[in-house]
Amino acid sequence: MAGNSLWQVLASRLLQGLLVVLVVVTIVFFVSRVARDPIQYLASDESTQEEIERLEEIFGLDDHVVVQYGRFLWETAQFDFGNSLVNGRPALNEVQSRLGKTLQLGVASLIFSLVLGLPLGVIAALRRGSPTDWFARLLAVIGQATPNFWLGLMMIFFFSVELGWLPTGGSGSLKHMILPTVTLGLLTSAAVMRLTRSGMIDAMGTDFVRTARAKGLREGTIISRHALRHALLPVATIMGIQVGRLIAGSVIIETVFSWPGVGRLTITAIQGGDFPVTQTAILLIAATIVLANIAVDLSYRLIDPRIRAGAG
Amino acid sequence: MATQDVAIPVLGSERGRRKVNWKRWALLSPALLILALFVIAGIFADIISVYDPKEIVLLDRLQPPVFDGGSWDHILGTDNLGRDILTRTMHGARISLIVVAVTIPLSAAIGTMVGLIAGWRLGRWDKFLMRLVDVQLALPAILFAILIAAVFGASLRNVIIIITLWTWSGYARFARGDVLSLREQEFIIAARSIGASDVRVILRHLLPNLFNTIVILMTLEVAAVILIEAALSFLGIGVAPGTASWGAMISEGRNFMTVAWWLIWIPGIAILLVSLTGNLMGDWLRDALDPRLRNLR
Amino acid sequence: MSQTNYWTTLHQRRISRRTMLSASARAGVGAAGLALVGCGDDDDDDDAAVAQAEDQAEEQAEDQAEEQAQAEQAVDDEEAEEQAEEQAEQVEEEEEQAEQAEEEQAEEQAVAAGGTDLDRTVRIAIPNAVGGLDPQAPGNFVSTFLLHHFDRLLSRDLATQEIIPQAATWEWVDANTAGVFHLKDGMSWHDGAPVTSEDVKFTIERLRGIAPYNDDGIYATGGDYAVAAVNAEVTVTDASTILVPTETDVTAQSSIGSLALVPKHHVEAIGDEAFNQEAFGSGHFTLKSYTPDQEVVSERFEDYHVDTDETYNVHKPWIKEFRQIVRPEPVARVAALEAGEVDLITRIEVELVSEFEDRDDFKVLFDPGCCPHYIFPNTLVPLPDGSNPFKDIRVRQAMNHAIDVDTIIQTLGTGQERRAYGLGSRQLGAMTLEQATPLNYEYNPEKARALLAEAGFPDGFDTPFYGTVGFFAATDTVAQTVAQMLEAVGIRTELQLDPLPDFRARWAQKDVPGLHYYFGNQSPDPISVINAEVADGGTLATAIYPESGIQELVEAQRLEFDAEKRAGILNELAEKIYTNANWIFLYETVETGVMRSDLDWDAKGNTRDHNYYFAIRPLAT
Repeated sequence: MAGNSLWQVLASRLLQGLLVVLVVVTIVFFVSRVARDPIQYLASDESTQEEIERLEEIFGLDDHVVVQYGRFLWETAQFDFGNSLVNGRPALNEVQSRLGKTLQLGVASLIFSLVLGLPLGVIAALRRGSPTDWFARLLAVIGQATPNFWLGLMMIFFFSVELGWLPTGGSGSLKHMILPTVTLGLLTSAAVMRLTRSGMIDAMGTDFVRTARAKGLREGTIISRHALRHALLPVATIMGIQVGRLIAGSVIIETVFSWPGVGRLTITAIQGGDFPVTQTAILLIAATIVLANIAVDLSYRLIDPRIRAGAG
Repeated sequence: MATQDVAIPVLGSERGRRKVNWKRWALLSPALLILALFVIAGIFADIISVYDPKEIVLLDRLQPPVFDGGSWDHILGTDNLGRDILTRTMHGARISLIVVAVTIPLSAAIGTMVGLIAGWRLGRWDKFLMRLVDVQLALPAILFAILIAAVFGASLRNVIIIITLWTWSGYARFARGDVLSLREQEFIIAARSIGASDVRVILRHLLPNLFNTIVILMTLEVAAVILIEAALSFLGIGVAPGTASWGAMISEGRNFMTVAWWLIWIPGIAILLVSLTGNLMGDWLRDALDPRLRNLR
Repeated sequence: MSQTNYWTTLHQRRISRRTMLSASARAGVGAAGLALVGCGDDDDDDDAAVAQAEDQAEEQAEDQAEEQAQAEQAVDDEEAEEQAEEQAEQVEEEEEQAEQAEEEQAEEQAVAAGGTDLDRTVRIAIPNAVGGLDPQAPGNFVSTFLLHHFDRLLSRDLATQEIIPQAATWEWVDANTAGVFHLKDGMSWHDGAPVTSEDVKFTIERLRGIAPYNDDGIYATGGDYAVAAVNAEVTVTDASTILVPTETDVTAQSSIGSLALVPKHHVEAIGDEAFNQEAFGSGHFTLKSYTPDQEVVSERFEDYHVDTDETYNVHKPWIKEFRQIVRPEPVARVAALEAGEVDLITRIEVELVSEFEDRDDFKVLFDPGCCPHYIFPNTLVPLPDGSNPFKDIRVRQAMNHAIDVDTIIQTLGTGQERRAYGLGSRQLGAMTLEQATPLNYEYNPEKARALLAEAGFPDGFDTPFYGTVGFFAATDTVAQTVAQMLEAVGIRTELQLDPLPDFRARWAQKDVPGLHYYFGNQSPDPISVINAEVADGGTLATAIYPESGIQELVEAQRLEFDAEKRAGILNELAEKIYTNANWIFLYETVETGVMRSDLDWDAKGNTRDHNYYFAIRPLAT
């Protein structure tokens, strides 16, 4: 499909993305109904059988599962995501506000990882073999091997409990964002650093750069204009994968830091059999991941139009 | 999002690979040692450990390790139910070992097959299989894990299933990418021209060439798999309650963090060490076999 | 109940170090003075010599006298000094004591007169806050943070647990087939509208699903078991009188009386869905803001109809503003308290709480908890191997003898838990300790094995064992411990832990064999435990013993309208449940919490939880 215009590529990607999201949501729809019976959460110790049946009727859970699915598709197409079974609020509202919070954390941590990882990677590449290089690589390798929930707990332990500098959880001010962002971002920054470094090393050794040097171009220009460009490509790849990983990581970070994000909401919804919220949350998360990946794909073209953006 | 083949731009650089890198060895030997230690501990946990990892001894709760005021009875201390931490750490190594030993070959096998077929057959097969990969990537893995755990409950078997489903797509993409570049090569074209069947081409020509890539990927995945299992157990959807998995130990211990630091430090360090050494081994292997893949992670 | 509180620290005597020092000094000076004065004899016998001697003697005497005088003077001076010192010290001491006494008096007066800071904001860290705002919507019974926004018809005296009026009084009429509510005058909703008898009727009918405003006729209600006894339409006879026809069942009074009043005009105006998001009531707190999963802010309702000095009832709170902040992790709650982000935390592991015990700026709270722990067997369905061992009383006794409850209490609990007996210890008709202790199933594994052998299980048997995780602290660890203890006498269990609703869903099917580890509750009237777990046909009643006489007692207590007599029947029931070894009896939970010392919270021995936030009194500093 090389040679197609950007718009055509975008359109086809979006269409494919839609299909993917649909499949994802369908899987979740059926699996969550197998997993949980929400009525047991809504009833109490003393609820009679009659009351249980009436609850099923009101929430539309007494229909055959395929009928429920049909109704779900129909309503979703009209952007009616239903109400939470737990508290009656519109599922979309519940998810939207939390998703915003999770994205806040996600974007902040991505920025943090770039700000930390890119310069470190460049420096390490330029000072290849020096103690600085070894040290940076050691940090990165340790960083990638650390379980993020453990790191989060350690952070709380030192910075909140022992030192009292930062709050222990929740959100509301910039101070609340620091610990979760750093925890989430440290692990990505390790990957960014390693990739930048290796990409830079490769790029610096190419004919292209040798030629540029021979031509007498300034080192600074060479680094920033040519070498870095090549190094950024694998970093962009990693960013794409990281979006998915960030959602996974955010679930844990949100639990540890009491961050009111969509990960925690979805866990509660899944375990509580709150189907509308589960479905809506996963739909929006999947859509976000898909869109983010499309953005990354297209950024390939921007960084280096020579790269084929692949068949399929 | 479509899966593009990951054709690593070869930028025309070659590095001499045959010299023995002493610095590398210096770093690698302790790593190898540590890894070996954990593996041995995992395999022989039953025999080596003095205590039963599940036995509850209420009167010995929350004993500190011997270097923090505890006794030599419990070198690394005890947990909230009086269970010996050293014993549980060793059994945790066993759990990690089992998960790694089963999940990685399984997901590698599935993923490689999918990638092979997609890359070789192209056309509808390719489209369909790569859509599958996209779906797996778009599905927020951890939330799906929670869903699965909600259906089937928490157990080691389910952990293996979940992690396999989580990680197979990485192999698929790389396999496909490699096949796409391999198929243009002469020996493949030659094989086709003499009428070799698909199966034959795949098994005798493609697979051996993929071998290096796949092995490296597998090694790199060791740390990731251990971390995922820990995370799942931490969330309570991993191994069954009471089982000694490092992640579960951290999860159980986090409520006592302020009065019993060793409950989360010791399993945490265990995870850290194993992932670290696993990564180092993977890096070394990759550099030795195929430096092209430096940009994998 | 050990509790360092504000008052005990105040009464500690402060022994002044200076006082001690001067006391010993005084003793030393006195002795030296005596030596100086001595007991000297004057000699003057010879004449000439005497004269000379006399002169000399006189001189000497003079000198001596001078010396003496000087010495005496010195002593006097010293004594005077000492006396002055003493006096000064005495004055000081008196002043100190007077000060102390004044302080004490002031404090006591302050307490008695309510020396309270009425403008305080109190913040509490809670584990979660999800749910809607409609107290009648299904599932919202777990939304504990909203209950104080609504007022109840009847209430209970905090100390005696007798039923007392709140928004209304109740009387039985028509030979106990109906009750009449007399609504209190002058109450208003949070939006200012008056509370009327129509609201009472609406509240009951909405739960029954027959309130006329609802087009489909049936609203998704929760808790209509509370109005299950209402068997005909409720009539409003006048502005403050409501007639409620019921089945002949004394427990209907407390069930219906515990309903939270909802405003008819508001619900009818905006509908059920909107009400779940914008509800208000007539309770002692008004809802100021609610951010799900983050924070709930409530404010004191200034027009609440019970004033603050009526301390034995639900009354207008002393707290001006009340914030409930969500922190799911227990460690995060503790850290938040340390850091001053919140003033109060509850439901914390006892190990974490012990750190606060010796500190002056915090108070540790130990309260009798809500729920006794029991393990219920399923006697309705045989085990997978075909046998039904739980039907045999000896097996059930054996299981009770196999568990070392006291050690569990000492190690996994706070050490203050009471063993659980037939019904909850704070319930009507509960057995006292004197009554229950002789009946105790003491820890005796040998006896357990002997009983099992006698019952035909010399090698024990295998059984599934279900427990919960995540609802109470330590239920999963207790379950594992119990499993180990049972195994030690031959009962091999296969333990499975699940989140509470899954567990209950499975158990409510009643066809899952084995042991189910669950709780009773301590609500003052044991009717809900009886309905759920004892009465044949109860939703969670899988431990049924037809020949034991228990069901007859269940029926009898329902029909006994004399409170004392009913207590007697319930006492008999509790004893019978225990001696029949209906279940495995573990212990009654103790809730632990920590709060800052500048708060006072007297809930008269009840669990200090969301039901009693109105009793938190910020002390004026």
